[in-house]
Amino acid sequence: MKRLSKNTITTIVVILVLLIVPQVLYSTGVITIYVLSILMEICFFSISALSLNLVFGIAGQFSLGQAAFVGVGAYVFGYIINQVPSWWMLFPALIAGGLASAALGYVVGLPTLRLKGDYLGIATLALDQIFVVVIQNIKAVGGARGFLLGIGSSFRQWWLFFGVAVISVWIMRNIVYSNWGRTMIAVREDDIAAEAVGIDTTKSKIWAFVIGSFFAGVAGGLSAIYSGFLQPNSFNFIQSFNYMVMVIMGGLGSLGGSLVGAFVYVAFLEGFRLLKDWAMYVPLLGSIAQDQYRIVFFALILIVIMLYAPKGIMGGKEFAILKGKELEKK
Amino acid sequence: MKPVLEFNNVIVSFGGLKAVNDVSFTIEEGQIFGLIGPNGAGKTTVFNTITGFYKPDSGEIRFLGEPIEGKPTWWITRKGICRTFQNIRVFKQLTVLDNVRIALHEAAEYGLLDAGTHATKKFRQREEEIIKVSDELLGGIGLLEERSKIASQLPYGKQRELEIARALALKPKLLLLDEPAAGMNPTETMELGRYIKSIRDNLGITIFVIEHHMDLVMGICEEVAVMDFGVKIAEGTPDVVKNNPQVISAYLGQEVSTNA
Repeated sequence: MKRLSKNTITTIVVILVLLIVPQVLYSTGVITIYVLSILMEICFFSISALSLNLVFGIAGQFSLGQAAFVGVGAYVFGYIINQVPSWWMLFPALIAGGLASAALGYVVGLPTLRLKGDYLGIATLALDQIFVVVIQNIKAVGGARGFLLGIGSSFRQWWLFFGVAVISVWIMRNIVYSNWGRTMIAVREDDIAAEAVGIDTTKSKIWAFVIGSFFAGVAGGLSAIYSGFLQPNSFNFIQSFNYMVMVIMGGLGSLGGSLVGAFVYVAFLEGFRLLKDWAMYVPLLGSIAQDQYRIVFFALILIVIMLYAPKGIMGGKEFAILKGKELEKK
Repeated sequence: MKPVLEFNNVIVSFGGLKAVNDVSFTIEEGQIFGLIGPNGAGKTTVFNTITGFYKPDSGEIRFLGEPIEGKPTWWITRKGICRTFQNIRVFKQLTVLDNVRIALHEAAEYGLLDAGTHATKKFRQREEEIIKVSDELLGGIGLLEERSKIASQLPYGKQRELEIARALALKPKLLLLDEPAAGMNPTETMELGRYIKSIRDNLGITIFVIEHHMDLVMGICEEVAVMDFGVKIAEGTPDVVKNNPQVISAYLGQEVSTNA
């Protein structure tokens, strides 16, 4: 039996603690379902932020179409699970959502990844709009009204959200620290030099897009379980910007950054709800529409973060447990 | 002698400007072939055309007998033509080791499943192999101690050597060096000359070099072609080329008639 490295043990301990503690706290009534829901939200936002980071931070392709990929995953998952609302269908449906999203990533990536920078951003932004309009016109999934998932809240389990997040993060991290990730990084750093060392840059970019879309789709499936209700506008381009905010706030290209970004994003937005109670006493704040002022606060926090940590909260660093193996000389 | 690269009547134009105008030359196996000429003569355009960055308007380029004009850069590179750039293009923000490891991407040969889990035997073997080969290459140019440094922290001369090591990682049959001695002092240039020669002698790689340092070109090249304003004006051994009046006038200007 091989001895486990210190890093592996730390990883396993951290994962077990995060898996058990929230569940125990909830079961014993220390935290409410509201807090547990926030944690679930962080899980699927982490996946979608990290998958965007794979495309934008690792492969360097500025994409604003993330919400559409999440949306496709959510709708495909929702549709399948509504046909067969049972536990054994859960994982096949999640993966089907991911695959559908990956297929869309391939189809969209083939023509658009020839574009660079801002142009790619605009093209992918259009994808969000197309997605919303198309879904609004498909009756089978409720059109603009949206549709209810027939599974109730039985799937809303902490272990499911956390487990899927851990596996997704683990796979994406592994890909980044492999030859696949290295060629993507080479394309980001200098696409001309990448071509000159024999990397098919278009293929590499498309793979980044396809892999990123797959996990965005999986995250979409989780978000469908979470809300129990799907509606096209929850996957419009505003949501794409939110993912972009998480990635950039956490630190572009840093895997841990995307997780931190998702955490800070959700934690702050939810945390500011608590301010509601006293905001009414502050002259200006009280008059801002009920649910809007937390966005204002969040924007302020964002400005402060970007001023003092322009490279994101992680500043190009990485959590030890997300790092690649230390490379010894041979 | 087998021709490695045949460059036949190639024309490359940008709008109205013919950057490469009906240029032909042949590089034989095992040669160190030099291309010289004043600034703007079209030397780098020749490189960019060979490596597929530009498509020639007409003419043909054959590598080991196979036509390669108009093919994508990565395809040509995988066929065995590697290059370095005039303005060094190492991956500046990545480590020295990663720079070489990236070039070994073809040796990886594992699928997404291996990469996604890191758990397969194939993955571990290939990755270990890649690190081993990288370390050998870095050892060869004396950069092994600096393998975990960020490439941009290396001194200029070392970055050039790293770029060459990265090209060698691809096991090229033809190595294109674009002004490798640019920005180097005479001692460094001499050392570089020896290094280039050793690449040819020890690894049997044919070398095609663009250079401004006449000492270097005259010292290492067996055959030299001269370009001026997109046209090849001379070709031959260094001694012949050096004394060609057209070459002298291209570099130093026409002699002014004194009795005008």
